[in-house]
Amino acid sequence: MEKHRILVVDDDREIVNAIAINLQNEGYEVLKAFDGLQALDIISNQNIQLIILDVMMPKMDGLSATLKIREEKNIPIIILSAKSEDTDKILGLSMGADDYVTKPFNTMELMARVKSQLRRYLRLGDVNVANRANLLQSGGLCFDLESRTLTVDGEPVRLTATEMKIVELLMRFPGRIFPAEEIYERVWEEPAYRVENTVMVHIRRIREKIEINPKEPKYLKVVWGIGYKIEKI
Amino acid sequence: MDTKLKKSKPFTAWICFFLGVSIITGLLISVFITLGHSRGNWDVLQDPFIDYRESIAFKQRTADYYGQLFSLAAASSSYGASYIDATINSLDDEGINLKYYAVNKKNNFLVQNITSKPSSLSDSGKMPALPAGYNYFWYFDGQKLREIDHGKVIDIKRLDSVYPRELLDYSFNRAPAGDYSDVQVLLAVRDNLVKNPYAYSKYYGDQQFLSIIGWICIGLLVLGLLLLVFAIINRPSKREYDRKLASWMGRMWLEVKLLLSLLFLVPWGIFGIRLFPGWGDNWFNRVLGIAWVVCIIIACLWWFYLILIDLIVNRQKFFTHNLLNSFLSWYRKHEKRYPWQNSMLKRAYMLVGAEAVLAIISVVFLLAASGSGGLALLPALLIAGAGIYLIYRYLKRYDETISDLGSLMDHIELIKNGDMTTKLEIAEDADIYPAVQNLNSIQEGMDIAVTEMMKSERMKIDLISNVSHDLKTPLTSIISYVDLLNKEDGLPEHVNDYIKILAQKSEHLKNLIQDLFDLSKASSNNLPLDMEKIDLPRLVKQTLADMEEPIAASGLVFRVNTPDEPVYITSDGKKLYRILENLIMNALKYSLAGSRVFIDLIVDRNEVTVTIKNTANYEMTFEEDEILQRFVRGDKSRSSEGSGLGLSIAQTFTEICGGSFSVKIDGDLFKVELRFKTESAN
Repeated sequence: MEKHRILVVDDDREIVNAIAINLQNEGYEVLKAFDGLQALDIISNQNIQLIILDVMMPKMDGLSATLKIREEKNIPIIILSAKSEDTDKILGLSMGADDYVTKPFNTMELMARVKSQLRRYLRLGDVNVANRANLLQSGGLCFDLESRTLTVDGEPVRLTATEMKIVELLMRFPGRIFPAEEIYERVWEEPAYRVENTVMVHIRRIREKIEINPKEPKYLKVVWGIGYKIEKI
Repeated sequence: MDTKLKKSKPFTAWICFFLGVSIITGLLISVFITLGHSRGNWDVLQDPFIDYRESIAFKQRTADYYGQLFSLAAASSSYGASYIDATINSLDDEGINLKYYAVNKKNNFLVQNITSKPSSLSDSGKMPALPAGYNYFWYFDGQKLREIDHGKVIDIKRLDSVYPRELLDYSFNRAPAGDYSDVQVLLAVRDNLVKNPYAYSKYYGDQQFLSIIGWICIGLLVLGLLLLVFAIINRPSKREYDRKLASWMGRMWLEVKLLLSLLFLVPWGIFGIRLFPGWGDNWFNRVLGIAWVVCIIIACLWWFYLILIDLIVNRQKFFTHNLLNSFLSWYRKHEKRYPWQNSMLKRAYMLVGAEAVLAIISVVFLLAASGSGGLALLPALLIAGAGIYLIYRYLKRYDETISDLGSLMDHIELIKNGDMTTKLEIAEDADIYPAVQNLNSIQEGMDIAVTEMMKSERMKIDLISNVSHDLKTPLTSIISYVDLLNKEDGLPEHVNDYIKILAQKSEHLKNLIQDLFDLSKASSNNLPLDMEKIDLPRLVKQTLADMEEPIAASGLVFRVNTPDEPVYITSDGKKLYRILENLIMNALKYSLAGSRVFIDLIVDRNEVTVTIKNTANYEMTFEEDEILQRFVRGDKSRSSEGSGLGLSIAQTFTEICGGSFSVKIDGDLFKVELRFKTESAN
């Protein structure tokens, strides 16, 4: 298998090096850039499969670079930033980035996100078009109604029967918030009484299986004080 | 030079207007007086422009002389010698311009200055013989009066003109009625009137005066019209000066104006006729008399013109600028020297005093009025009116002050509610103006202070944001390399231990920075909120389920008591989760092993309270509010994990989410209470 090339961009050389070492350990080929312009230069000359991009950089910041890259290329971009607020994340994602990781990051988590983005990017064409009608999809989350399997970025996830039912219910109505009682009644098919805990425990388990960082879920979210939903992406 | 001319242009225009109107009005008045004197005979106006012989003045003069002579002859016996002499003297003043002859055969009366052939006059009915150059004469032959001009006889009775006939009637009327057959009277006027070197000839004077007065009048008329036309062309300039005059007039008190008006009116109304010196015999006196009347009328006219423009320009000020108001404004200035409460009281006392004085004066005048008739009634009424006006002004002022006080109180309320920009506008002469000004400057000061505070708060936030960013970047490297070290194989055991400690501490530092950042943002209200309708018991249950693992690992028993039906509040769910998470983590960390943690959710009317109670695993030696201070931890040793910001974050977040947060300590019992306002279910 050919090595995937990843471009790491940050004005802090130590961070770039640390990320590079980790990526090389995972078997990727790494290119380094230390500002936005350099990154754009490399991207236009080299064949690259993924970019890890810092926001606050000299010459050209990460958000402008993202916009520039998106004008031509569809390669996954993971933004790496010290800005941790929701508004910063939303801004980064709306500029065309695929993921947003806050500094200081967990190396394992970053590696997982890189893998997941690459999988999704490289296997996008694999999805059988004819089967689309039987697929429930939300971002990298894909539920096949026929084979009753769930894949995250192409990687199959093993779920119990109850968990599968919950995911199916939530994925049929992405974005809709389900209270615990409704989930219970429709999945367990029993009248619901004090089921918050039961449902929440299942939700948490599903999250641990499908989310890279269950503390900051991307797909399956708790709407505090209201219910649960799968994000419509 | 140029500017000076421009400056004086309004004055010039106004003076032209003044002179033009004065001259034309004067001429009109003179004409009316003349017409009035001639009893409406318009022909009198032609006199200056026709031959003197044809003029009414000549005929009037002749008729006058003739009447005097005739009455002398007709009733000579009834007059004294001195009267006869005086009459003859006045005829003789004409000198050679007048020849007369009057005879009454009945009592042998004869006066004459015709020396030639007196005898020829003795025949009744015969024309008297006259020297050459006297071709105009009046002659009564005992039967009939004739006016003869160059031999042409004009029957006076047949004259179309009313004027001489009436005069004639008047002349005859002066003589006693009766038989005049013995009377013959002749009066002849010289063809060429000459000056009498010894006395004043009225004929000659009349001729001279009439020959020039017409041209003078026409000249004046033309001049007046020209001036008026000039003034009309320069109307704006004239109006400008009108306004200037009005502003001068405006400085005059109303009372003075009224008094002056009265002074102008009284002589005209009461003494006007008497002031007219009469229609003198002498043209000079006559002109002087007319000029006098004209001057009085024109002066009145201009006075009322001034009053009129004053009224038009100054409007209400015309009435409000009076003695009473000036006194009141003087008093107002005067009372400003005293402290506010003194001046307010003093004002009330002054009113009572002034009213008393006015009442007494009024009563005195009333008593005088009952004695002297109605004349003193007017001042009594005026003084009573002034008293009522004073009360009105006092009450009006009182009303204004009360309403100003009201708006002052409203404004204080406004400031209390945080409005720092709206200024209270109030009349500068209001009683509470200084207080309002002070309040406004206090407000301004507060506004500046608040703005400064907000600015420094914002700077603090920026600082914290930047610092946290600058802290995070090196920390990222630390964590990354510690992680790389961690993966390194074949290191000695003790090095692995060191690396583990490094990993723990850098993780701790990361949490601390994030907590600090969140807290600073929240406590400066810079945290965006996502307010929603939330079921609070559900949120508590979700949080507990979410934290199931650490709870189970702690070995503590949780006693949760929440209502089954939803309790809705409007808040930010994520923040509420963070609050509960922090509080539960706190309880897990500091609870006595094996003890129970109680979580109760109680609804009381429109308030819901969440209580978390746990038994501390150490002695709580701090005050309740001390624990809420940032970085304060229950255990002073600071041995455990955590930033020490957990409770502070919980408190700050609760407050920005619209709730209230309190901590109670009772022995080993640590109790946190969160209170929120409930929403109705729909």
